[in-house]
Amino acid sequence: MDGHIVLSGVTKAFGENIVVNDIDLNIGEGEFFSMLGPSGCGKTTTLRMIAGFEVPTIGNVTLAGEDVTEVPPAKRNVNMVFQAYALFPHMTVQENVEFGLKIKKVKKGEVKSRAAEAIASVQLDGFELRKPAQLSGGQQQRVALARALVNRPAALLLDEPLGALDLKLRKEMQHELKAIQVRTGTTFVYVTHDQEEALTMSDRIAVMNNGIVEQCAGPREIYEHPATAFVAGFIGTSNIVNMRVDRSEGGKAIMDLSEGQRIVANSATTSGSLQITVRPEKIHLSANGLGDDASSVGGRVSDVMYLGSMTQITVDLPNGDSLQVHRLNDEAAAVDPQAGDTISLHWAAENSFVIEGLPSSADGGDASAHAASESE
Amino acid sequence: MATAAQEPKAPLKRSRRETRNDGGSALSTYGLLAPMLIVLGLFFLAPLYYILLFSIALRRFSPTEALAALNGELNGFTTELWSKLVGVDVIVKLPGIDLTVPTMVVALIFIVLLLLAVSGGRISKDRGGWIVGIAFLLLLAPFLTLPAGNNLLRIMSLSSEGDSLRLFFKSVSMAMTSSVIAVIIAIPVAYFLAFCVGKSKYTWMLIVIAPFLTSYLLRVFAWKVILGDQGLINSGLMAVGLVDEAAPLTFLIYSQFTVIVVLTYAWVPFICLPIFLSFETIDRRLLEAAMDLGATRWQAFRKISLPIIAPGIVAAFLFVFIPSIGEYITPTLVGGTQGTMYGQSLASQFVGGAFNWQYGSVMALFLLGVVLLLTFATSRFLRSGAGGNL
Amino acid sequence: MARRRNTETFVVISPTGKVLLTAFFALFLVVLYLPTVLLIVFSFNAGTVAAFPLEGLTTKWYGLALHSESIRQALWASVRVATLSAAIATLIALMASYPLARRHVRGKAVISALMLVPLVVPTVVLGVALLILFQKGVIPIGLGLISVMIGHVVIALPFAVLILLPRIASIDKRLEEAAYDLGASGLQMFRRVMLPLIVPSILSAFLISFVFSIDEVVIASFIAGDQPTYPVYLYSGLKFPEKTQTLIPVATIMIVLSFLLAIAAEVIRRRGDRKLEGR
Repeated sequence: MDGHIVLSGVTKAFGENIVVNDIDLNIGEGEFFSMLGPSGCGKTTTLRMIAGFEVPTIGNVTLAGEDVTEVPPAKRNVNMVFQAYALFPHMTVQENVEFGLKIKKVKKGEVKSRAAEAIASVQLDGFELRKPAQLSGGQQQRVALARALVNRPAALLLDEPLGALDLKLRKEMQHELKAIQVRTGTTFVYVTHDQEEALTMSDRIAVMNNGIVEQCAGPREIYEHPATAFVAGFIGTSNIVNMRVDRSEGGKAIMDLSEGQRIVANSATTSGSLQITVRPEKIHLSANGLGDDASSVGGRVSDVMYLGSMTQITVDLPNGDSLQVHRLNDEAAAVDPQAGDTISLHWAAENSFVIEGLPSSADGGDASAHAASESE
Repeated sequence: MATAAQEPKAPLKRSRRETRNDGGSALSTYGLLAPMLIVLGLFFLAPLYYILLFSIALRRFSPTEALAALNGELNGFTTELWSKLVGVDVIVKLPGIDLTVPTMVVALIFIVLLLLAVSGGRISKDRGGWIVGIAFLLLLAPFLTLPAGNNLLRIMSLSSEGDSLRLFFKSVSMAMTSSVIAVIIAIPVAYFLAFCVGKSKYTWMLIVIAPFLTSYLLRVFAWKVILGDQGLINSGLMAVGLVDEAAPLTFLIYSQFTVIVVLTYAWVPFICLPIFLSFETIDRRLLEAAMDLGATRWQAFRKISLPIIAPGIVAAFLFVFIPSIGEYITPTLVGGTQGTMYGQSLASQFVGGAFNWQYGSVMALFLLGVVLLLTFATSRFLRSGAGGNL
Repeated sequence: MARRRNTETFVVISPTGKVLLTAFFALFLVVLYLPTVLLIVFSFNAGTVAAFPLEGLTTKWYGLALHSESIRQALWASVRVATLSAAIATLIALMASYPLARRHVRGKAVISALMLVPLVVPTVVLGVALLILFQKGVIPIGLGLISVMIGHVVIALPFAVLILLPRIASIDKRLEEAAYDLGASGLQMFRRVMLPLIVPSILSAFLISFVFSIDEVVIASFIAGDQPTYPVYLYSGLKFPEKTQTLIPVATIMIVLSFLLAIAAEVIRRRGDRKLEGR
C-alpha cells in the first residue's frame, strides 16, 4: 500500500482566519514525518486535511497519487490516532479494535485474528475485555494505536499522541512508536509541539509557524542549520547575535571588535548587518582547537545556572546581545566563572548560522520555545 | 489497664478528627438541617402516614368521622379495600386490635422504602441489600399470603369496566405512549441543538425549555382551541373542504388521543434537556474516530452516539413516564369520558363524586408504591440522567 | 489562483441531513409555541367562545378580567402564596445545603434521600395526603392559603436544594479557610464570602420556586378550600367553556410574566456561573 502523500498549494481558511497558508509537503512512502510547531501554527489542521476532516480552501491533497482532496475520511485509506485517543467509552478494547474491520464488513474469522494480532503487537494481551476507563493512559494510547493499525492504513496520522502521558511513559512510547513504524513500514505523519519528540523519532520534520512551513528537513539539518530565526528559536536554545559586517574575507563576513576580537559568519555579504545564531553548546570558553577564523568576543557573566549535567552561563555582550553558553559538567570542566566575571567566548565560523527573517519574529520564536519547553 | 484498653482506640479517634472538614459544631450543623427535617417530617412524612392509616383501618369512616378516628378510635385492621383495588375476594379482618403499633411499623418500613427508592441503593450499598429485600417483602406480605393463582387471574382478566386496576393499567399505557413519542421527537431536536447550531445552542435550548415554565393549565387549554370541534384543525379542514361542516373530526378532542397528544406536547421541552446534555457529553472526536475507521454518519450515530446517550434517553423517558402515570389535570380538561386516568378516579375519592377517603387512600398508596418501585428499579438511569446531582 | 472551495465541514451531519433537521426543528418550534400564540390571539377575539372563526378585534376581555373581583382575589392569593413559599423554601434549603455540602453529617445519604423524595411522589398523592393532614390530622390548620403555601414549600424544597447545594459545594473551600484565617467568625465568613458568591443561585432558587408555586394546581386544588389561588380558579373556570373567555386575558399576561421570570432566573444563574469563574 502506497503511503505517498502530497499536499500542493494547500490553504485552509475558517472564515477570514487563514490557518494554513499555501503549504507544499511531499511525504514519502514509509517515512516518519513530523509536523512541529507551537499551538495554533496550523499543524493539526494540516493533519486533519490529510485525514479528510477538513477540506482545503485552496489546493490539493493526493494520497498514493490519487487526488483525495474532497474524499470523506471514511473513504480514505489513512487512519488517525487522536489527541486524548477518542476511544469509544462504551466498547471494550476488543470492540474498539474490531470497529473499523466490522464497519468494512471484513469476514468474522479475519476480524478476530487481525484484532488479536493488533492487540498483541501493542502488548495488550489480556486486556481485551476491559473498557477504556479501566485502562491507564499508556494502555489507552496503545489501544488507539491498535485500533488504527488493525486497518492496515497506508498512512497513520498521529495528533499529539503522547501529549497526555507523563515524561517517563512518553519516552518509552517514543521508542515503541518508532519500532512499530519501522516494523510495519507504514508512513507516519506525526503532529507535535514537542521538539525533542520530533527530533528523536522523525526521518523528516516540517517546522510550522503561522500557517506556513518554515523549514522542512531532517532532524540534524533542522537543529544545526535552522533556516529561519523562528526555527532557530523554536528548536533548542539558540543565541541570536546581531552583527555589523565590517569586511569580507574569503567568503566570510567579519565584524571587528576591540582588542582583536571579532565575529565571523559564513556569508558573502560585504557590508550592512546580519543576524546569526549560535547554539549554546558550540560556544567555548577557550580558543583551543578552534581555527584562525573562529569568532571571539568578550563579555560579562550575568548569571550562572546549574542544570545537572551541564551549567548554563549567560554572558552580556558589549553590543547589548546576550549569549547563553552550555558547558558540560564533566571532570574536564574547570571551575565555573562567577557572575560579574569578564570572560571571552569562542566558536568556530561554521557554527555561526546566518538566518533570514526579522528580529521581531526571533523574539516571538524565543518566547514560544520557552513555552514549549515549559509545557514538557 | 484502662490506659492499655484506650491505646488502640487513639489512632481511630485522631483519623476521625482529620476527616472532619468543618469549623462548626455538631449543634450548628444539625441546627441548620433541622428546619428542613421538621418541614419534611410534619408536612411530607406525616400525611403519607395518614393515607397509610386510612388504607388499612377497619372502620369505614365518613370524612367527618375521620378526625375522631385518628385520635385513637381505630380498632381494627382490614385488607378489604385493598382487595377491592386488586379484585381479590380474600379479606383479612383483625377487629379489636389497636392499630397504632402495626401502623407505625408499616409506616416505618414505608419510609425506609421511600428513602431507598430515591437514594437508588446508595444506602443499601452501605448497609447491605437485604434491608431492601426484607422491607419490600414485609410490605407485600398481605398480597403474598393471598391465594396466588386466584390473585393473578383477577389481575390478568381485569374483570369489570371501571375497575381501578384496569384504569391503572390504561393510565400506564397512556403515559408510556406519550413518553415514548416525546422521546422520539426530542432526540432529533436535541441532536440538532447539540451539533448543528454552534454557539447559540444554549439560547435555543432555553427557547425550547421556556414553554415548559409557563402555565401548564393554559397550554392544555390552548389545545382545546386547536383540537376542538370548532378548533384550528377542524375549521382549517372545513375551510378547504376536506371535512364536512356538520361532521367535525370528533376523535380529536375529549379522547385518549387528546390526552396522549397533550401529555406529549407538555413534556417534550422538558425531555429535550437531558437528551441534549447527553449529546453534549459526546466528544466530537469519537465521531471523527468512527468515520476515520470507515463508518458512515448514520453508523457513527447508531454505534457511537446512541449507545453513549442511551442512559440519558432512558432517564428522560422515566422523568416523564413516572409522573404521567398519576396525571390528573390533563385528562380532566381534555380527556372527556374516554380518556379518563387513574389520577382522576383517585382524586374523585377525595373531592369528587365517589367520595370515599379510605378507598382513595388505598389508591394513592398503590400509585405511590408503583412509582417508588419504578424509581428504585431505574435509579441508576435517573441519577445518570440528572448529571449526578441526585 | 486556484479555485476556492466551499469547505464548511460536516462531520456529524450531512448537508441534506442538516436541512431536514433544521426543517424538523422549525416545525417543532411552531407547534411548541402555537398554543401560546393562539391564546394571545383569542385574548383579543370578540367572540364569546374560544373557537374559530375569529370574530374581530377587541380588548373588552382584558377590561372585564381586570375588573373581576374574584380574578383579582385569586391573583393576589397566588402572589402571596408564591412569594412566601418561595422565600421559605429558599431559606430552609439554604440552611440545609450548607452543612450537606460542607460538613460531616451523620446519615447524609438518608437526609439527601428524604429531601429528594417529594420530587418522586406523585403530586396527586401528596395533595390528598395533605388534605387528610390539614383537615383531619394532628395539624388542624384547615384548608386555605396557609395550607397551600406549606404544600408548595415541601415541593419547592428539593428544587431549591438542587440549585443551591452544588453551587455551595463548588465554591473553593480555601476561600472559607482564608476568611477564618483572617479572623472572621462563622457568620461573618458566610455574610462576606459565601453569600456574595451564591446570591445568584439564591435568586434563581427563589424564582424557580416562585414560578413553580404560581403555576401549581394539583396540590392547591385539594387544599385551597374556599380561597382559590389563581391556577385553581383557572382550573375550575376552564371546565366551563362559557366562563373561559374572561380567563384568557389574565392567562396571557401570566404566561408572558412567567416566561420572563423563567428567563430572568436562567440569566441570573448563568451570570452566577461566570462570577464564580472569576470573569
